[in-house]
Amino acid sequence: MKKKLFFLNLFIILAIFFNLIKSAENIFYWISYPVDFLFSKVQQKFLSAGISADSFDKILETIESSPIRVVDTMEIKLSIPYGIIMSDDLTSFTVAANKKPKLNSLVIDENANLLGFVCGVFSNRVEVKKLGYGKNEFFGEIEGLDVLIKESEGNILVELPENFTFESTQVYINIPKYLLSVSESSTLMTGEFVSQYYANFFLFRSKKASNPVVYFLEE
Amino acid sequence: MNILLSFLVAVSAIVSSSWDKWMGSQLVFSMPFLAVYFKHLDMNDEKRFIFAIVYTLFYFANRYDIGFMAILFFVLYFLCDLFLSKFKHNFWTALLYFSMLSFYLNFLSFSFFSFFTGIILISILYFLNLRLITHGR
Repeated sequence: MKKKLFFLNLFIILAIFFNLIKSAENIFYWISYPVDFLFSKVQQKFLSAGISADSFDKILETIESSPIRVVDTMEIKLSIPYGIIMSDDLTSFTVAANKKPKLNSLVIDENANLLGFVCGVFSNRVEVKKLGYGKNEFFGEIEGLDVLIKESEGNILVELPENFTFESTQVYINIPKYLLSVSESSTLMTGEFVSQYYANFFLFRSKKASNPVVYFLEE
Repeated sequence: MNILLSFLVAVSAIVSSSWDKWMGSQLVFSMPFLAVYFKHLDMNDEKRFIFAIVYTLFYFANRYDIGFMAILFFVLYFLCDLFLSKFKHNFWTALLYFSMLSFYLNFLSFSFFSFFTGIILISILYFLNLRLITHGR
């Protein structure tokens, strides 16, 4: 009984420690990397058996008519890495990609809507944290104004200036080029403001992915 | 020998957490199986709680985050262990121990199909070899 209570206390102290120092959680990613590598392959094999020929044709069609391309300064056309969403989860989804993307690169759909950030790369199996569940802070642009966008615990918070008025609740937020040094057009975040969260931070709800095809933009 | 065994238990917790992260909601969660087997093999409290701590930290850090849900899972493990240690090992305690842990993990990932797969598997496994472990031949 005493030993069990000791372990319960130990766990709560560890949980407090990892919440105080959030970046210490990365150690779990690196320790379990080899096992994750193996089991992500198993999951891909398991899920690829369930894809019917019907939906596979549709996916190939959308990949061929991909509108997003990156133009380098040397004017050489390079297509960017893309992938198909395999499984959807509460906080993240896994993608089978054609090339190995970098960690922390942006994930967008075919209409250039921002979906999330890459948080784990296991060869061509990529794990993506959904927008809101990460710990990123970045600047966006709304009607010509620079605003701070923050992710916290599944919410997307946008800091608007005081006495800001918008006609419709539907809002497009441009994420300007300095986040994406190479892309031609800037990435969008489409959605609506739900309510005021605290101070000048407003709760933002973005649209979800309708197509299983996603693209990776490396910074 | 004792240290080596607890090291092996920690490694098995890491492997189990990784399986649950990728295949848990698709097929079946492996952690409740290991917990039931460790309980029936009469391991001492230290090893079983090292297993629980390592598993909870790795699974919740890699899939969600170490928050209130992780603490709640560990408290559930603690309460199950405390409550069921008073009873003798039999089919119903094994099933109850399994289903309480499995239901919480499945509830978090919205995958009740794998919950029923696990219930069927544990009831087959009990009559295959878990009964022999507890009662001998």
